[in-house]
Amino acid sequence: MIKWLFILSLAFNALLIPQPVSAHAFGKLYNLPVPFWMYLYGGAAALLVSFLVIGYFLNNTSKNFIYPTINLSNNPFFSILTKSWFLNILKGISVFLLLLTIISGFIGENSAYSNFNMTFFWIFFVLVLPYFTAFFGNVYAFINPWKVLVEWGEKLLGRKVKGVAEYPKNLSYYPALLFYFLFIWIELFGKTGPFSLSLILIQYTFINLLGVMSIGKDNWFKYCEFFSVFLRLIGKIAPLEYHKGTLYLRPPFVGLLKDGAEHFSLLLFILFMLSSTAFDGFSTTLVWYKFYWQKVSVLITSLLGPEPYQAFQLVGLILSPFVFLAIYWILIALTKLITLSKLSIKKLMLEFAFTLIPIAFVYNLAHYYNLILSSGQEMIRLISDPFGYGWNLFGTAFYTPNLSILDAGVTWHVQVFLILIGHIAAVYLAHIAALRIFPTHRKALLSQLPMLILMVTYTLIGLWILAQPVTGGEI
Amino acid sequence: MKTNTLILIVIAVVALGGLFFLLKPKTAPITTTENQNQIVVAEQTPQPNVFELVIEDKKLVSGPATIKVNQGEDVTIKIISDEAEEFHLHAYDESAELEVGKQAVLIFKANLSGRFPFELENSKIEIGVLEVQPKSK
Repeated sequence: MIKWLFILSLAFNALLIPQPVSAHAFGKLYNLPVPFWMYLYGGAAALLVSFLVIGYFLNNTSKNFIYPTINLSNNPFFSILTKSWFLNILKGISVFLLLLTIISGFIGENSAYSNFNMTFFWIFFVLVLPYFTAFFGNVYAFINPWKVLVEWGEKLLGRKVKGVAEYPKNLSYYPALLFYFLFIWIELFGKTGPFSLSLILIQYTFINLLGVMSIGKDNWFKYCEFFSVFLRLIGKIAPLEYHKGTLYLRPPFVGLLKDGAEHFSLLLFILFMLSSTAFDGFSTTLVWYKFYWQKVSVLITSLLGPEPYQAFQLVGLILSPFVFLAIYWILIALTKLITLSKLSIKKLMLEFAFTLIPIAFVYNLAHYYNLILSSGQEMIRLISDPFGYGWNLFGTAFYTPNLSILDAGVTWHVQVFLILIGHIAAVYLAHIAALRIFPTHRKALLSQLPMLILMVTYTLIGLWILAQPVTGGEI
Repeated sequence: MKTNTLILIVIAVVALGGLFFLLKPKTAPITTTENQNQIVVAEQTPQPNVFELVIEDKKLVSGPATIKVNQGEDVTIKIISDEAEEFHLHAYDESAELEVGKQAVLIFKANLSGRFPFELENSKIEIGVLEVQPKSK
């Protein structure tokens, strides 16, 4: 069975090797670069707040980080959310949406803005779901359509799928990282349309089935399925947690402090969260474009032949997490030096890894939230005419998006504000983590000086990219 | 302990607010970012925003690739093309039929701020962008 699935899946691959194009998969961003004075302000504010947080921790020495929680099971609204009948409805809807997304690509018009599936996948699944997860927790763990399909299969067959092989634990999260990379490659460079998107989703369904049959459901969805790993990390930000059937309210971000990253591959995954968004922004700037056409192109045209810009983009994307890793490594090494810590640099890197997630998250939110506001409105029109047939099921088929909500000035303020919030959260979390990791309060405080430099550097990079002039292809 | 936290929060709010008002530009000019080397469109004299684009072989051969205006201003774009096409401005959803040798004129008010590409709709080729600086900064 596995052999046949594998062969089918490979054959399918031949249909859809993503053709690298220098174009976003979907969606038009109408943002203007952030003005220079705002970029200065963001940087200065980040620095200022970082020192104030140090000031706060001068007197706050508690090693044991306890946070308040509120049990929500007495609340009628929240108690419904954990009922199995409600979750079953959500699971059904999730699988229905996956099937609708795939089918739309085959039976609907093959035009990105006339077909339900492109807007649904690229805006609602790829953007709205992660942002929703940051506020409401990892709902995907329950409604992952691929996981649900496997669970239904198990119920039908009357037995659990154990997998034919033991998962090599050394592989850890590397498969998820590989899928993450492929996903970003498609997102940034693959000009998908409704039809090719459906093919990709079918392929991913095959991959999930193969994966589950090879190493079992638990290991596959813990280590290998990209969206599961991604959304589990984002869910740590949320002020909601779920324990043995009960929902609790908690302060935001504290979920990131429960433990450190368990493996280097997870750290790389988090750094790729940061770097892929940063790269997306950076690759559309004049600086990057000029760097290629005026410096690099001359050097490598002889090696790679004419028009290697796409290869350049690909190399840039592959290298991007390592740039952030290098910065992280240097500053953690400094932290070890300053505190004379007996812990290895690698151990320290893993312990602080989750404190980077708020920065990665706000990078993403600041960069893409406008896309939800503009392209997201298209869904109002699309629910009435999902396949481009000229239907008007709910009377909204002629709705035109209201784009006045995209005021560039407001956008700048929101972007800088978001980046600052992420920075403040990261700095605060790193302090608390330090109190747990280092033996004395003094060492914990000392460790935060290189960490401050790290966070400010990442924040400045994010702001700098937002402030860069964008190129439409001209120099 | 709680008083210290309160003091720190007050300092933070005052400092952040003060820094913001210190750095915010006093006037609302149509300045571009320091890094750009495009020509700044004057805003003092009421210059009409008239731009002429010449398209040959699906490429812009004359006229600005980046049209910069302020929010709320009237914009006139005159386009002449060597082949029949449709000129389309995103977000504003303004279109003009381009006939060979005949100048098409697009007149509209720049009420949306942001960066909006305009393209040859049939060939799906981007020709340039319209940048509208917001009134609010």
